[in-house]
Amino acid sequence: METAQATRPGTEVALAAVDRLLYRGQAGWTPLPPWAAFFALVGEQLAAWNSPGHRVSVCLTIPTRSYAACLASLGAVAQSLHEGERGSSPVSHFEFLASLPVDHPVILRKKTQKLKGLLKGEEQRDGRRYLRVQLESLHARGGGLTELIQVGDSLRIRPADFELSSSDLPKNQKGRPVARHAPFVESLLQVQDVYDFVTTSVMSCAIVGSKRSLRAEAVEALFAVEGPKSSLLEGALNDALRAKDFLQPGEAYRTDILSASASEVQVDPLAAMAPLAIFDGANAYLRWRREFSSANSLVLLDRCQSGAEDAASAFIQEHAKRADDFQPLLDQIPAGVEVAGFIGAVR
Amino acid sequence: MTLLEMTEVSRLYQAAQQCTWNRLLVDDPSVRAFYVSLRRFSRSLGDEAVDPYWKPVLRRLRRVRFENAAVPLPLSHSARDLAAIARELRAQLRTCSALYPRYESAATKLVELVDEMSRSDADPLGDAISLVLQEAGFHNLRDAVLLRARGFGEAVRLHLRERGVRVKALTPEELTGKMAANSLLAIGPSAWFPAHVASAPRCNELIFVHYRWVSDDRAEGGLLAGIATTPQKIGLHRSSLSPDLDEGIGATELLPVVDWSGIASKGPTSELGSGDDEIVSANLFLLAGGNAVYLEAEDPYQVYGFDLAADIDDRVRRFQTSRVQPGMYLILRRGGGGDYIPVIADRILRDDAPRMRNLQRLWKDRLRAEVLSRGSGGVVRDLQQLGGTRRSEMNVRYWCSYASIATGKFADFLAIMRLVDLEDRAEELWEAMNHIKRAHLAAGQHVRRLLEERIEKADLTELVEKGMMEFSLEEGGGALSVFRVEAKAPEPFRVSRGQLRHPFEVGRDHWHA
Repeated sequence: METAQATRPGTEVALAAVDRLLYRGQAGWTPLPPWAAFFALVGEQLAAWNSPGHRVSVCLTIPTRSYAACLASLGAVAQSLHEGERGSSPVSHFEFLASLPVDHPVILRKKTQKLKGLLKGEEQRDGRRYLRVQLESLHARGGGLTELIQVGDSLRIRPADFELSSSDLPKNQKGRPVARHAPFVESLLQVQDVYDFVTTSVMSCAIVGSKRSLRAEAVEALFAVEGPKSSLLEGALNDALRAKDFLQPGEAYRTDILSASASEVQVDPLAAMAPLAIFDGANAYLRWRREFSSANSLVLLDRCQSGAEDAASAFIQEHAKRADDFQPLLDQIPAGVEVAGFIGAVR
Repeated sequence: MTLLEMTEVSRLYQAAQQCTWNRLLVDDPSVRAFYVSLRRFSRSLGDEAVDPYWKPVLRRLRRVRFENAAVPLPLSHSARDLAAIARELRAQLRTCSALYPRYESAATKLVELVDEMSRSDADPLGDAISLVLQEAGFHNLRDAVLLRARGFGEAVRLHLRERGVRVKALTPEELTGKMAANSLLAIGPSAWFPAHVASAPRCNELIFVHYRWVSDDRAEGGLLAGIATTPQKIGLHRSSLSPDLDEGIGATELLPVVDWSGIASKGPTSELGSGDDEIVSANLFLLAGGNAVYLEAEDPYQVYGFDLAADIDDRVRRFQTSRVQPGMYLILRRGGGGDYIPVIADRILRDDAPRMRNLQRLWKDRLRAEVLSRGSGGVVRDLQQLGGTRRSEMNVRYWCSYASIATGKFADFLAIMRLVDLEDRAEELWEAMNHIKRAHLAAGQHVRRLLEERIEKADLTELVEKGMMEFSLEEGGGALSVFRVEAKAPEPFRVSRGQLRHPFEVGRDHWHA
């Protein structure tokens, strides 16, 4: 196998993001330590790895599992974001929206607000193409406010995955903020269109682990990035990870989180197809690894946790069936991190 | 596991990179003399060491030997109670001159050495700790001692404080979260401690303090040793340390060995005719605090456990009884029937409980009668002919047990009903069994929630230090105990089902065979 061709070089969007992140240390806001960048880079590298019929698996044994999965997930999100930006254009997006049935629910961004609406189809005026979006109920005083969106602005419209009918629309819609901490995400990931980022669901990564711990790290822990004029923009990792479980129902997500201790081991087909599955802990890997047999995987084993030895043995057994070796970021492995990786066949 | 601050996580990576380790070897003439004499005596006994006369004597002596090497207290300290041990040994050896005259002299000498130690203020391990920490100028709670021996933490802490050394006394389980100490003095050779003590250190300096004549030759690599491409080494890669005596001892040889047959002889009895007299295969576990318990050796039985090292929402969970291992914590009920879930489920079922349980017994008694008359193999064949889907005798044994409720699939249940002439009531019985199942599920969730709440509020230091803790259930539900599993018998025992899940006391001496 030609590993060098199969592995696309990391875009290092993640590295730049981690470089920008600050955490509140004893001496105030402090740049993240080098070990943090390593996890983001591994996540990015594995999410980018693509070779038909093959998958890559990496196992890291670490002195603590804290933040490792969230940072690796940040890397995976950064990677998919980079890919997405290359692919999307207003024209193709317009065509896609125009192909949707009339009355398809959508979300329309107006400045910093987002509004729910119904797509009413394509119209032509003065030789220009528009999409009409209904934003208010027909019972409203104005009789159902609509708005025309031209091709160049089509990225402001996103199809929604919730149900909506004309009678559900408000009589006077003011909208809701596009995203919590939108400027934080914009600066962290350098996204050109934060609206696009927060309204588009892209399954970049699935994490199997402890939801409670992951929530604490992704939602409760406060981070910051430097904004315009040296201002500090505060936010949480989940503003970038957009883990489905930690968002409001119906919001667009980029990461799925599965409980390692769930009574039933069952994976949403979309999550199973994510470019990267992160097993955060021994129990996660031992119970769930077969559900992600076609995804690239990152196994994080805290050497202090029970079951780490069993999970490492299971990984070694998988390694024995490898098609080739895989050595991730050898020159950047932090001290105290043990690494093994392999390329295997997709099952 | 609470959220670690990023700063704290950085300290852990830094410790993994920079932690240094050392070894401090100690000696003491009386401890050495006792060790050498015991070694010679054990060898001279040869095969007679397993004689019922000598087993309890050797058990006590080996416990003394282990605690000499594991407890940093003066030999005369009351927590060691060597004087009482010497008295007990004398009583045990009263008949030695008549029964085993050729061993009398050596045995008496050993007891005299124990007696001598009980009057000695020598404190070789404590001296070493004091020397290291006072030399380094550390007299505060930034440093800690790590103990392999259970139950001495408080005595060690107080004693060292009297010597002017203020340290924490920790167990390996306490080294899984944030940094625990600047200098950590592990009492005993490194092979006594879990790998993570060295491979994921919670200190900046790790010092193993042990006797000179103990060899410490555990080769350590990372968990992925052999396939890892890591540029740096994980954990301690030490060369073996040979003892300075011709008759030196390996580190693990000093560790407690459990007298399983002695423990089994103290097991609970089952009331004949209680319906629980079926003989089953069971694993025997030694629990903290001198307790033991039998658990089903075959799948698919489960037991609630508590995992201190797991993330907080994974701590209380069910484990297959066949997968219970030392280091785990089990949640068990003392007295009134070992399995508490049916008791709570019956409270949930309220007035329906007696009728439901009678229906459960009705078909199980008939199935058990079939198994008794034709064997489980014959019943499996019959069930298959009657539409059953399972081919394993283990399934049939499980269905016979009062601890199980019903089959997983209706097809298997219907086959049983056909076999035991209850086909016309199959649906009624299936519905009743589902009713019981739902109650059991609710009971399990109730216990889990309750324990999670209590455990979150509880000071887990007691649990870690003593290895056990009691929790009261509300509304007269009785008390549950959490026990750390210290050891598992190498082979399963055959016991009656009524003996399962009842913790029973075995005393401290059964640690050493």
